Amino acid sequence: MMEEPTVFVVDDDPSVRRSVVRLLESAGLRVEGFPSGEAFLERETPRGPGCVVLDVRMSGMSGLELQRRLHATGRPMAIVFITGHGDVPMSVAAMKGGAVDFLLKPFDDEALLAAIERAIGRDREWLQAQQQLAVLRARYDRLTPREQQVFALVTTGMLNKQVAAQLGTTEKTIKVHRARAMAKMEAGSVADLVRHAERLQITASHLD
Amino acid sequence: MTAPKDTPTHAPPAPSGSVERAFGFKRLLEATQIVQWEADAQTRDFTYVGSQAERLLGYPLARWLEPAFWRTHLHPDDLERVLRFREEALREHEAYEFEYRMVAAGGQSVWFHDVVAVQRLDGVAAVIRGFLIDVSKRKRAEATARASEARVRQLIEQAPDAIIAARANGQVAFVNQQAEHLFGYQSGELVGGQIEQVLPGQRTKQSPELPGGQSGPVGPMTVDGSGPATARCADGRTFPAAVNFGRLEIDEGLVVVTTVRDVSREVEAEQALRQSEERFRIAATLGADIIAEVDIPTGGVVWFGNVDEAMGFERSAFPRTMDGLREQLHPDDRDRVQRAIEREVFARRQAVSFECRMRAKDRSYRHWTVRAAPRSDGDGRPKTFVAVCSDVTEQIVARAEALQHRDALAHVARVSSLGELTGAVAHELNQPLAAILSNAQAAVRLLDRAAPDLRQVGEVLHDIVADDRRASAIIQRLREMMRGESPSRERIDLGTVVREVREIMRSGLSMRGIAVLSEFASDLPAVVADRIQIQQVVVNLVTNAMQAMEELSEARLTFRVFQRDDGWQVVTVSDTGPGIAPPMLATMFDPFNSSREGGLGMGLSISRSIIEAHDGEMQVEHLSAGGATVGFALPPTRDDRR
Repeated sequence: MMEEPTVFVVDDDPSVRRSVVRLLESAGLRVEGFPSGEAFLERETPRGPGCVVLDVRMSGMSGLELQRRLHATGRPMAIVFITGHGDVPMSVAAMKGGAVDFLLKPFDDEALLAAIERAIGRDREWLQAQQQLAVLRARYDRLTPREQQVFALVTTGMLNKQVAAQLGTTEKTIKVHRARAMAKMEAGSVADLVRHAERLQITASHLD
Repeated sequence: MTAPKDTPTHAPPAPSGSVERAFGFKRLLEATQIVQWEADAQTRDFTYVGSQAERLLGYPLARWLEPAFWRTHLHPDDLERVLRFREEALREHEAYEFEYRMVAAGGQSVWFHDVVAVQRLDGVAAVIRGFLIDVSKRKRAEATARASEARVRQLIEQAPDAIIAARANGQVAFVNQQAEHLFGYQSGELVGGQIEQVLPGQRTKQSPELPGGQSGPVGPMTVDGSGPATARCADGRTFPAAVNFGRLEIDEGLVVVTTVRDVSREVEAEQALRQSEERFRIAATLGADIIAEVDIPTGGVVWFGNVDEAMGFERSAFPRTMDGLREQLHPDDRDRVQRAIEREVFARRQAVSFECRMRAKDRSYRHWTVRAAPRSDGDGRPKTFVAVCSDVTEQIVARAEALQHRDALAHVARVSSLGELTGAVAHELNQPLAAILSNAQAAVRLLDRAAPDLRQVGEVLHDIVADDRRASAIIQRLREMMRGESPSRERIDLGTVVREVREIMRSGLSMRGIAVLSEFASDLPAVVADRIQIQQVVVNLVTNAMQAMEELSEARLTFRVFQRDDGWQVVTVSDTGPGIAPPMLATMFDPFNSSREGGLGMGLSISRSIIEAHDGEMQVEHLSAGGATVGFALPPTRDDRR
């Protein structure tokens, strides 16, 4: 359904990087290797699903720093950390930052591949959620300002009559707006509409 | 930085009398960078200005004498402060000084230090006189010093030590992560608090007002030579700390930068060493001698000095006969002591010294050193002899303890440097290991394919070999580091070296109830080796053997020194412990491989490095009867080989 995933291997040790790239390629994955966090950030933002296999200690930007930077870009990729000498605070920081796993070098191929599989799964979910959100947002943008008001108030649980009173119009008009809003949002029921509002993080306070 | 010194001084700095009259002085001033001036205290306008003023601001002298020149050329930012201060000073003081900026003809600002004296007529200020000194250069230097703050902060953050910067009032301005970690605080918790919180009593010691001048960016101020300070953690725990101070000027004023290092382990080890050495010293000076006079024909003994009390007996209850004393001697010492006295004192009529163990009332043994000499009263067999007896038990115990503490101190030093090493080594070593494992597993996958690309597999194998070499180079470097300095070479007798170690270790062995046997071949040729290093190897072997026999009832250690048929000389240490399990035999010389909990596993690895550096070989035997024999063999020296 989506394009083939890519694994980005970021490690400043050339022989480790080469061996991991080779291992993942031999397992049939599409792989790109980078000698530093800086080099990886220079690459254009990946559009398809993927994950990063990231060394913690590197000269220049550390793995944890790259993790923070990726979050800031708005495309937070799933990360599998690898380290030569891990310690507890470091792994806590990495896991808190949303890392999928933290593997100690030397690691087993099965362990690495399993972690990568989980990471790619997580990244696919994230991309899917982003896509759905984009669709919903496009539908929402098609609503007229009045329909957006009605949408917001209805999804807070107000009755048509109350909405009409608040907007200074008749219940009948509200019913028409509501029907149009539901049709444009492709919502089969009010419950659907409420779910969409939650996804879009729309509340009555967004109006005025 | 220094704030403008708006401070009144007590003595008027201007010369008394009018400027016009002091013509010679005027000439002198005009030759310097100092501008003298005189003004009407009522109108505040200049009535005289030194000619260098032209150069300082670029205005002709005539402009200076125009009404309101001074006020209208003050820097706008300083105007209000300066005028307020001057009006107050004119009312209240005879002299004052302050700093401000004036705007020059070219538009740039010039900093002046102004020293003013007030002359009054009937209590009313009439004339003011003063000096203007250009201080722009100093102000620029101060600004430069402040500009480096960001860089200094960054350096502090990256420093390996814990660092706290505090303001003059003791408030913490900033700290680095290492300090938060050392004192157990969360990020940002310390900032704004008092430095007293973590370093009680340090604020007074590091007050920025202490000697050292007012300016200057960074520099150590004092290094506390009075011993470690006490530091307190977030949870109330305290620890001894080595503390260093430096002064630093930043935008918000002067701060004191304090470097803190935890020295608890050093302090503990040192204290223990000092205590046992102190006991040793006291025992040596107070060990009172007791003298015995022995009548040889009857064997009767007369004691001078309170032997009864020293040995815990009732008055006159300690033996007064030679036979009685023999009973008190340790059974192992009886024959030796008797032979020594009979041969030297009775037969040869000369003095003899020996050590022996004498049983006290509580059945514990006291260590005595005895020096016995016949009383010469003419020819023939002596009738009496005198023995001076010193109780050296405390000395022996204290010496053993001191030795142990010395070991402990050395161990702390070694372990702490090893701790740092292991982290770095583990990281270094895990890189090639990770590459080897990934490459090998990739190769397995490549070979599993229907049509394996053998050329690619060849590349993988090539990389594996390279990474394996890289790993062994790391280990080689570590081993060289452990070996330390290049060894010295001298001709040594292995039997003597082993005897020396036996003496060093004797108290440790007997304290553990381990019996010691020795089999030394006689007349062995010397070998060329580093005496200290060979001793270290033997000490390692004995230490391992002792540890293998802990809590054994039948513990026996055997030293052997002999020559093999091929001329190599062999030293072995055998124990009666559980022996070495066959899987351990292969790896027991590898570093960090220890069968003991908490053991570093470095002893045998270091030993092997030493012996290999001597072109020798380690050897190990698992004894069928139980126990192990570990040792080494050294090749004969060249001239012995023929």
